[in-house]
Amino acid sequence: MIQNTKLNHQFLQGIFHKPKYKDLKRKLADFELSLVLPIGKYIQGISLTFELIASHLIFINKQKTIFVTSNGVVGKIKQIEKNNLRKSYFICKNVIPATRCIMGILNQGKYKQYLDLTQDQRFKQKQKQKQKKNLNKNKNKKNKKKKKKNKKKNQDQNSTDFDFRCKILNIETRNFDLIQKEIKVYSTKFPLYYKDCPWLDFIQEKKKQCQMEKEREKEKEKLMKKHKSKNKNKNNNGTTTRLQHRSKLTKERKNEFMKTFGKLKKDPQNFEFSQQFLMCEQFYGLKIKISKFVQHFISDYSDSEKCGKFVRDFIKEISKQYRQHPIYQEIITMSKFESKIWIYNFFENYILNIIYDKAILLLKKSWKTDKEHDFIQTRNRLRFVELRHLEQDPTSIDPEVISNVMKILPQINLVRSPLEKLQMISACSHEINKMLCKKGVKGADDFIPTFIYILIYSNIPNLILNVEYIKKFRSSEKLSMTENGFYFTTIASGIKYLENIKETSLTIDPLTFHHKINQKNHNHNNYDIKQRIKMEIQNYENSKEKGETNINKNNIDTKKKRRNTVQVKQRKTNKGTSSEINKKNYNIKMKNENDKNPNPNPNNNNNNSQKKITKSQSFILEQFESDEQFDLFGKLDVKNEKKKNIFDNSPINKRKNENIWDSKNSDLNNKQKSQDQVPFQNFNGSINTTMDFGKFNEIHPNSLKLDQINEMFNMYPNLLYSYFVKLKDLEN
Amino acid sequence: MKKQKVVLLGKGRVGKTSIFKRFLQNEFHDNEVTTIQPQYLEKQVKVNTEKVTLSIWDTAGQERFRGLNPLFYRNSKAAIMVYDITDQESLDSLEDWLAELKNQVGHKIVLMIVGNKSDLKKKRQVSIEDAENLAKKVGAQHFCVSAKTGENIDEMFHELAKRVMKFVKENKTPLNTTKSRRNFALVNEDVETKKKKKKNNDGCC
Repeated sequence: MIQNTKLNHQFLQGIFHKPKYKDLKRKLADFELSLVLPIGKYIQGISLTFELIASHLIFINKQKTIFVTSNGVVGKIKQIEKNNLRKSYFICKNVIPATRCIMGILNQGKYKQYLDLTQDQRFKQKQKQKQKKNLNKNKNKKNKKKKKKNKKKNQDQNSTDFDFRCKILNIETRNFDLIQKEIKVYSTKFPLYYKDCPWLDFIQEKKKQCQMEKEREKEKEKLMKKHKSKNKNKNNNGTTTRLQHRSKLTKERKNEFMKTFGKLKKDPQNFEFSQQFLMCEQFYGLKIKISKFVQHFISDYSDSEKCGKFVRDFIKEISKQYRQHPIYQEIITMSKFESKIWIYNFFENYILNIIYDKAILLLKKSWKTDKEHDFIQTRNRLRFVELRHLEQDPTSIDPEVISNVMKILPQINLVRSPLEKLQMISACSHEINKMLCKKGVKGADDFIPTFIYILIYSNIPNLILNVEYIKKFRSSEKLSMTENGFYFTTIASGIKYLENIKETSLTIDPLTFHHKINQKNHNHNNYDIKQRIKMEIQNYENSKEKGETNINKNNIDTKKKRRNTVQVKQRKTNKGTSSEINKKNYNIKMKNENDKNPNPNPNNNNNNSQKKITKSQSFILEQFESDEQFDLFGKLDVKNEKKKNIFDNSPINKRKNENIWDSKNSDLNNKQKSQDQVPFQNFNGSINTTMDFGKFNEIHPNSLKLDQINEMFNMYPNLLYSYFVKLKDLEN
Repeated sequence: MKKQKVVLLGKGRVGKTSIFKRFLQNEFHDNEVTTIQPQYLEKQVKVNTEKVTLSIWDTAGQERFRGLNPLFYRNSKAAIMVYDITDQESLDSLEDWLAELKNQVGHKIVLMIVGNKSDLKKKRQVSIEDAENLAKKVGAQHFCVSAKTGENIDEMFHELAKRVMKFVKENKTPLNTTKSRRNFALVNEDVETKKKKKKNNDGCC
C-alpha cells in the first residue's frame, strides 16, 4: 500500500489502530500512494529524501521552492551543503496537511495560484472560499430540510473526495519530463490531530541528537578560543560573530586557503578553482549569501531592463564585504587598488558564470525586434565593401593575421563572464595592432576601419547579444576607463557604424553603393578572406604603380590633375557639381569589377584595359599641361585644392557634399529609374548598372553628340576624363 | 588618485597619433614602442606631489566616423582638441567638434586646444590669435606643440593633468565658486543661462 516510506507506514499503522479513522483505512485500501498528515500544527524538521520526493512528486513551482506530492504534501525545498558537496534535500518545513491543502482547489490553474501565495494569504483565501461555499449551498438547498443538513454539510466540507489530473515532474532526470496521471485525493471525515501522530517519538529523538551535536560543537569552539585567546586581534567591525570565529585559522586551513588562492591567482578564470576557493570554510557566510542571490536571480528575477544593475550592485556589495573580512586582510598582500579590482573581477566571474544562461534569456526578452537577425542581414549586404572604401591602405594588412582574428573572434560564445569576453576582444585587437605597427605606429585612424572590415567579413554568432551582455553586466565605469573598455567601445562603435551605414559613409559612388547593397544573390559564406585581401592589395599596388609612373613623367600629383581636368570641363558645362564624390571612384569601380571576377589572376582583361587607359592618361595630362587655359584653371584650382580635396574629410566639405546630394540624389535616382543609364543605353543598347570601361573603349568618341556628352557628364563625371583621353588617342 | 579619462579629438591626419606617440617615446625606448598599443595609453603624471594616471583614448578623425565618437566620450574628464597650424580648416572643424561635445557630454569638461606641427612655421596658415580667441571663447587653454621635435608636449600634458586634478577635486564639492569657472570650460553655458532666464520668467508669472 505504501512504498518506500517507513515514516508513512508507521504513521498510518498508528492511525489505523484508532477507531476514529476506520473510514480512512477503507479509502486508502485502493490508493497507491498516500501520505496523510495530521491537522492543526505544522510539522517541522522532517526531511524527506530525494528519492521519496521524486517518486511521489506531482508539482514543483517555477522557483523550485515549493513542491507538492501525489499524496497532497506541500513542502518547501531547501538545498543543503554538507561536507563540501551540494546535496539537494527537500525539507518539509511547514507542511500543510492533506486535508486542508487541496480543499476547494480542484483545477490545476487555481492550484498554481495557490502555491504562489504566502501562507497567511492562503488561509484567508480558504476561509473566504468556505464562506462562499456555505452561502452557495445554503441558497441551493433552501427548499430542503435545513436544520438536519446543516450539520452534515460541515462534515462534508472536511471530507470532500475528488479526482484530479496533474502533471508529474521527474526530478531525477532534471528534464522535467511530463507524465500525466490521475490521482485520487481523499480526506478524512474527522480531522487528524497532532497528538495522534505516531512519529512524535522519532522527532523527539532527532531533536535530542541535534542538541547533542550542538553542544559538542560549542565545546570545541570553547577549546579553540582558549588556544587562540592569546593571539586575539580584537576586531569590532560589523562582520558577524560567526565570521570572527572562523577567522581564527588553524595552520592546515591556512595552508589550504593559500594553495587555492595561489592557484586562482595564476588562473583567475578557472571556474573550478574559484569554486574551491569559495568552499574554503572561512567564507561560509558569503557563500550562502551568494547562493541565495543566485537562486533568487535564476528562479524569481524577471526585470530584464534593470537586471544588469541588480547584479552589479550585488557583486559590489559582496566584494566590499569580502575585503573587510579579517582573513583576507591577513593573508593577501596586494595594493588596495589592485586587490579591489581583483576581487570584483573574481566575484563577477564566479557569479556570472552561474547566472549566464538566465542573464542571456533576460536580455533576449528585452528585445522588441530580433536585432541579431537585422544585423546579420545588413552585414551580409555590405560584403562588397573593400578596405579602400574605408580609406584604409590595404598594403598595411596581412591577410593571415586577419583570417586568424576572424577564427578567434567567434569563440567569444564559448566564454561566459564579461571579463573573459573582453579579454578575448582585446587579445584580437592586440594582434591587429601588431600587424599595423609593422608599418609604423598607427592610431585609431587606421585601427577602427580595419576592425570594421573584420566585423563585416567575419561570422560571429550572437555578436550583438554578446555586446549587449557585456554592456549590461560590466559596470560602465570599468568599461570607460580600461584598455579592455577601449577595444570594447571600438567593437560597439563598429556595430553602430554598420547599422547606420549610408552611401556617404563610404568612399564609394552612391549609385554603385545603392546597386550593390540591393543585390540579393551574394555568396555570403563561400569566399576566402585571404584571397580577397590579397586581391585588394594587388589591385592597390597596381594602381600605385600607375600613379608612380605618372608622377615620374609629370612630377605632379596625378590625382590633382584628374580633378583639375574634370573641374575645367565642369566650368565649361556648368554642370557636374556632384562630381566631387564621383571623381575618386573612377578607380574604385574598376577594382570592383576586378573583384567580381572569380579567377584570382591579377592580369585579367580589365586590368589590361585599365593599363591602356592610364598610359594614355599620362600622355593627355602632358598635353593638357601645355595648354594655357588649363594652366590658368590649374593654378586657380591648386590654390583651392586643399579645400576641395575629398581626401580631407573636413566638415565643411562634407556639408557641401551632403547638401548637393540631398538635392541631387533624388534627381539622380529618378533618372536612374526612368532612363536607366542614359549614356550606355544610347551607345550600346545594353543596360549596365556599373560602368564597363571595356565597352566604353569600343565606342567611337566622334559618334557622340553634344547632348549625349552633357548627359553623360551629369551621370558619370569620371567618364569625362577617359572620354577625352580617347579623343586625344584618336587624334594622334 | 583614480584614473582619469582623456579623449584626443581632431580632424583626420592632423597628428593626433603622433602626439600620442611622442608622449610615449619620452619615457620608453624606441624598440619598445612597437609593442605598445597605439590607441590606448595609461600614464602617470606627477603634479607637485600627487600622481594622476591619465588614460588617454585616441579617436578616429575621419569624417565618416564622427557619429561614433560619442561612445568614446563617455565619462571623460578632459578632451584634447588637436589642429594643424598649416591647415586653417582643421581649426575651423574644431568648432564642430566642440558643438558636438557640448551636445553629448553635457557637463563641464577640461578642454585643451593644441596646434600641432609648430616646427613648420614657414607654412603657417592659422594665426595664433584665431586659435587663442577660440580657446578663450570656449574656456580652453591653447598650446602650440610639435610632435616631431617634442616641443611643448610634456608641458601640455603636465598642464592637462594639473587642470584635471583641479577639476576633479572641485567637482567633488558641488559648491563651485565663480572663480573656478573661469579656469574651466563651461560646455553647457547656454543651457544654464537659458535655465536662469526660465527661472526668472517663472518668478514673474
